[in-house]
Amino acid sequence: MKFIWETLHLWILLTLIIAGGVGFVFVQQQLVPETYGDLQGRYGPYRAAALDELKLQPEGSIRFIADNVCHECHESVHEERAEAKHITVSCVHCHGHATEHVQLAKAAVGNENAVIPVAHIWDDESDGNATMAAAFAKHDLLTTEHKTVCLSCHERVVGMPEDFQSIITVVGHVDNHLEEQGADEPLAFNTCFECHSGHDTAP
Amino acid sequence: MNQDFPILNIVGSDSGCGSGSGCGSQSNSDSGCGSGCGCSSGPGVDSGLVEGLSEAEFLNSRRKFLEQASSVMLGAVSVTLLSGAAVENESSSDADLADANEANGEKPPVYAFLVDTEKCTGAGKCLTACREENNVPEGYARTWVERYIHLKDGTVIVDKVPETGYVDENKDTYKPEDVERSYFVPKLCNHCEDAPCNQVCPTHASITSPEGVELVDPDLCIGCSYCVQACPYGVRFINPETNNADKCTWCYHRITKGEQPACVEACPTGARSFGRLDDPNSEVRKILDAMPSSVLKEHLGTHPKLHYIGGLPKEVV
Repeated sequence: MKFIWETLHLWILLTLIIAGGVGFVFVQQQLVPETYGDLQGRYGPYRAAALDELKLQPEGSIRFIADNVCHECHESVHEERAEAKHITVSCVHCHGHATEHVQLAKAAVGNENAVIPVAHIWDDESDGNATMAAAFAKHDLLTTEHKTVCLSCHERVVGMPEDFQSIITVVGHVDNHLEEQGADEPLAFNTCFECHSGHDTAP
Repeated sequence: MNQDFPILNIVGSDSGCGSGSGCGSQSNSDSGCGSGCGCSSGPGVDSGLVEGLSEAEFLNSRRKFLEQASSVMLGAVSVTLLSGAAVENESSSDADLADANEANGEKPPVYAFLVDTEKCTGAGKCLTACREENNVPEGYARTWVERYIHLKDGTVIVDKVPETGYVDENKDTYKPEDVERSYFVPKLCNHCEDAPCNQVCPTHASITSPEGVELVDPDLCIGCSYCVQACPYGVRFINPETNNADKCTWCYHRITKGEQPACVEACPTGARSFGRLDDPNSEVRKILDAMPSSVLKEHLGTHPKLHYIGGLPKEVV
């Protein structure tokens, strides 16, 4: 007892050191995120769980609909487009992003009573002079015969590669082409679709 | 004053009051260590001596203390070492697992992104696809397409392709007869092998996935924007909705499910392609093997994984 009493100051010091060490380990365990350091990156450890979270972004789903998803249900369109020149142009470029449409369609599999909303028809009468961007932002799924869906690629622009220009100038500049074909002035919103169909665009 | 020193030294051999001044007046007391001497410690004046403990006993108690303390410390050290050894065992089993995965052909894939500027027509389909896919706020972009216009008078103009292409209110105003040559250059994150953005991150939120994709951990990012400044390609921005650093992830959520990034899927002319470098049959690998290609700012030594087919004009940086 006497010994303890005599060296008390040293025991206090030792206790403080040990308590400090335990406290440090405890605080570190509280502050370091879970799975931190499970993976080593190029510049040190990181939180491994972040990878799984990022795999689920955004909101756990793939939003941009690839053509093969559309073709799962719309087989006839696939057949129609298979040989067409515009097979590389994605469905969503003319029909809107269709994210909601696909979600509803997937949920409706095996449910006979399910109702999938029909596509909005974008035409000049109902939408005024809305731009393509405005129409696409407003509607998840649309069908249209509006000329701007064609002109977003076929309007000749400075900077287009020459071979692409040569493709579109087979018929001359789009303005010349329209003049040649005797299109009415001012152009109707569905001018292109008077001769070309949407899916197989050969005249 | 001078006479006082020997007395002091007899009472406490190492009293610590060697300077003499200020101690002399109290040196006649028994303890020899009165207030104001500043000699609160030191074996020579230990209270043990006052209580009649012999020097041998005192030394013995010190030895006892040291023995006990050292045994406690040894215990602590050995516990630490043991736990360290356990961690080492774990990590070595991880390494075994990695080796086993390699043997099974489950090595993380190596990706590369390929851009063919000759094919880009400036339709802007990739831009809308990226914004839709990744919820990018208006006014910011994870990928963009630059248009370089070399006018006949020698000036070079660079502008950005509007998201819907050059239609409606964005109709192109340059006349082909004024232009010497012109081309589009799509830009996105280079996913550098030696990424400067990753090096400067103070919270380890900028990470390189096992596939070599540069990502941002939304939980750890504090939005300090060091990485935004560090990126030599200007691909990062602070997302005003999340206040985190945001960047192209090559659509990490898509490629890990075997899909293509949204911009690649959206491009109507195949100007963008994405694939595995470790698969000799992949399209990207075949093209990179067969054709010359270049990267942006090669002199910085960042080793980008975004390749441009053919040489880029010197104006493109």
